[in-house]
This record gives sequence, C-alpha cells and structure tokens, in this order.
Amino acid sequence: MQQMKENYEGQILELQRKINELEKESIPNKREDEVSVNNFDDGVSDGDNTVENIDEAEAEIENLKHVHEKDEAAEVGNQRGQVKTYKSKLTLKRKETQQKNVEVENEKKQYCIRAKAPRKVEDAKKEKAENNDEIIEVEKIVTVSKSVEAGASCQLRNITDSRHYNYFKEKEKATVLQFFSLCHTFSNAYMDDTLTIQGRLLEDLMFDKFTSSEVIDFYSKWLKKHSSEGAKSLYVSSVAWTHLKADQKKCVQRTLHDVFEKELVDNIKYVFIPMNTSKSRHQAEGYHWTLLVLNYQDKKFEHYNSMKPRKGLLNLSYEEAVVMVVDWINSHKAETKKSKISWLKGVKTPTCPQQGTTYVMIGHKH
Amino acid sequence: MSEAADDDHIKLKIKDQNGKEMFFRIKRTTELGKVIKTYCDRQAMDPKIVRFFCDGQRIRGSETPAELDMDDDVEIDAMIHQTGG
Repeated sequence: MQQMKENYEGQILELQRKINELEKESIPNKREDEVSVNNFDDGVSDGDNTVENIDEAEAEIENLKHVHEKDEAAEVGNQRGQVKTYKSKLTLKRKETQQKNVEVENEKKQYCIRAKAPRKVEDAKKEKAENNDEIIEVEKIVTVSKSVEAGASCQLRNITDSRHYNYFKEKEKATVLQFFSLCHTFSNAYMDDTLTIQGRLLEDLMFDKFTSSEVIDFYSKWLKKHSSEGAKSLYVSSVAWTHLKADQKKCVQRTLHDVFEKELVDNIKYVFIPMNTSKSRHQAEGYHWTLLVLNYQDKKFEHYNSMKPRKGLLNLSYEEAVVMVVDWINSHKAETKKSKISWLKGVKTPTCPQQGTTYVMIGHKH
Repeated sequence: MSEAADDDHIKLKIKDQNGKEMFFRIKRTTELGKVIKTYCDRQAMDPKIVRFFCDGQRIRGSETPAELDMDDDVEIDAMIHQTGG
C-alpha cells in the first residue's frame, strides 16, 4: 500500500509538472495581438497554481492527519480521485492549448485566404476588363469617335502669314491659298495608296514647326518622280530607321530589307535614308531629321546633319547613323559581298547648310 | 466559341515602341479606327501623334481588317508620330 501511495504521489507531481509545462508552452504560441489576453490568462493560471498548491498542501496535511486514522484503502481511493481530477485537469489544459493552437492556425489560414483572395479577384477583374476591351470597344467607340473628330478639326491658319509664302510661284500661290482657306486641319492635302498628308501637317511645315515623316516621304516620292538627272536613287521610308530602333522586325523587313532586295539595282547611285534622330540624350530636346546617304559611286556612307553639335559635344545622330550603317552591312552581307571591301569604312560627314537655332528648318531639303 | 464567330472576329495585337502589348478583338468588317481610338484612350494619347503600322504599311482608320487581308493574331506596331526639325 505504501508503495501505491508513493506511486500516486509521484503521478500527481508529474501531472502538475506537465500542466505547468503546457501552460508555459501555450504562451509563446500566442500571437502578439493577444498579449493582453495572455497576461490575463497567466494571472488566472497563476492563481490556479496557488490554489492547487494550497489544495495540495491541505491534501498532504489531511493525508498526514488521516494516514493513521483512515483506512489505507480509503486514502488510496482519495488519492485515486485526486489523480483523476489532475488527469482531467491535464486533459482540459491540453484541450485548451490545442484549441488555442487551432485558433491561431485558423487565424493564420484566414489571413492567408484574405491575402490571396483579393489578388484572385483583381486578376479576374483584369482578365474581364481585357476581355471586355476586346468586345465592347466595337460598339462603344461609335459615339466617342464622332465627338472627337467633330471637336478637333478647325480652320487652317492664314497662309499669307507664312514667311515661306512669297517663295511660291504665282500659280502655286493660288492653289495653296485656296487649300488653306477652304480646308480644315484634318482634310487631306494629298492621298495615295501609302501616304496621306493632312492639312495640319502642311500648316506645321509652312509655319516652321516640326516636320512630320509624311512630308518627308512625300518629298522622296516627288523626287523619285521628278528626278531629271540620270542618277538613279533609292528613297527609303522615313520611318524605317525608327522601326529599326524600336526593333519592330516585320516593319523593318518591309521598309528596309525588302526595299534593298527588290529595288537595289546595279545602276543605282544613291540611297537616301532619312533618320529621325534624337538631338541629345535628353529626351526633352526633341528630335531632328538627318540624312544618311549610301553613295554607290564613291562607295562611301555620308551622313548629313543640318544641326551639328559644337566641337567636343557628343554627336548622337552621327552615332545612330553608324549603327544604321553597321546594321545595313550585316543584313546585306550576301548582297554586298563583292563590294563590301571597297566600301570605305566609317561614315563621312560632309559639310552641309546649317540651320539656325531660332528657325527650325530642314537642312537636307535645300 | 463556335467556328462561325471565329471567322467573324480576329485578334489584334498592338505593340508600342517600348514593346508593351495590348490585345484587341474586332470584327473583320469593323473599321480599324475604332481600335485605334480605343488604344489611344487607354494609353491616354492623342490619336494625332500616333501612327499604326502593319507589316510596314501605315494603317488608316477607315480601313478594315478584311480590306487589309489581315490574319488572326496580327501584330500592329504603334509609333509616336515622327517629327523633327
């Protein structure tokens, strides 16, 4: 019996230790949000501890008192009861901690779900929006486009104000005057299969604003038609260089490589490539037209720049011209195999009329 | 989607100079101007300063995919209007 008693007492101590351990363990599991609750819990559990200790002490005293008086069997039964209560306490504590863990986990899960869910919704929205784009646009725009077009077009400026007007011949003056007085900014001044020039572009040209690529393309076409000399020339589209710079392969193929393949005949003497180059690395300084000429007669590249930078400054348009030349050599290796060696390396920059800073003009057109 | 609907519509891809892409679905008989307008609206650009090229050819707003004989998944290049002084 004595052994049984010691056994039970050992069990009781062990159980209490376990309970304490569980209580300690449960604390770090809790999240920061629950600190206040934690403290409260701790207080309660501490109280429990003391109560338990008192109970224990009383029980021991009682035990001591009744050891001799009461039947050992009864004592054992008592202790059994205590063990049972402690066991039940232990299971309760375990359950509590488990519940807490579960709660924490649940919260974590919910947090994860919350974090994931909105993204999904956003993605779905984006997809929907994109899909909507594709479908809606067809019906939606009808109303918008009309209003835009109606609002934007306006009368052209009075051509006689232009300082270039006096350079026209009398016949031309009449037609130009007629066009500028009758037409709007969006009416077409010239139109063929590949080229449309609207009134506003002419206005820009006549009033010293920036010259658009269309105007240059038109001039190329005009030169091609009216080239009186025997010199055959090839004019490349003015956007070809930009296509190349933007790495738009199909367009480059079409505007540059195909042109070279089809139209580069033996008796061609010059190839003109207008280049829209940036003046400097600062984008705000805008763009500038320069002209790269492949001179088949002398087998050399010439780069005409009407706005050469001062000495010592970086000539960005020249650098771009070099890039262009390198690309041209690379893409036409097969074609230029024989003549490649005879082409002078490097790009020449012949002197050409320079434009002033106040008036923006196109140098290479003169 | 049924085959008939697929025949009616084609998918367009508009790619700007920086390689950013935008996709459109349009009827073969619808004028491309609508796509251009939508694209410009989305990009907050003035339609006047953008040029659209398909295989190196300038696209006009009045043209339709059917006229230009466009295939499905055709790629259109958008370029800022080239000007210079």
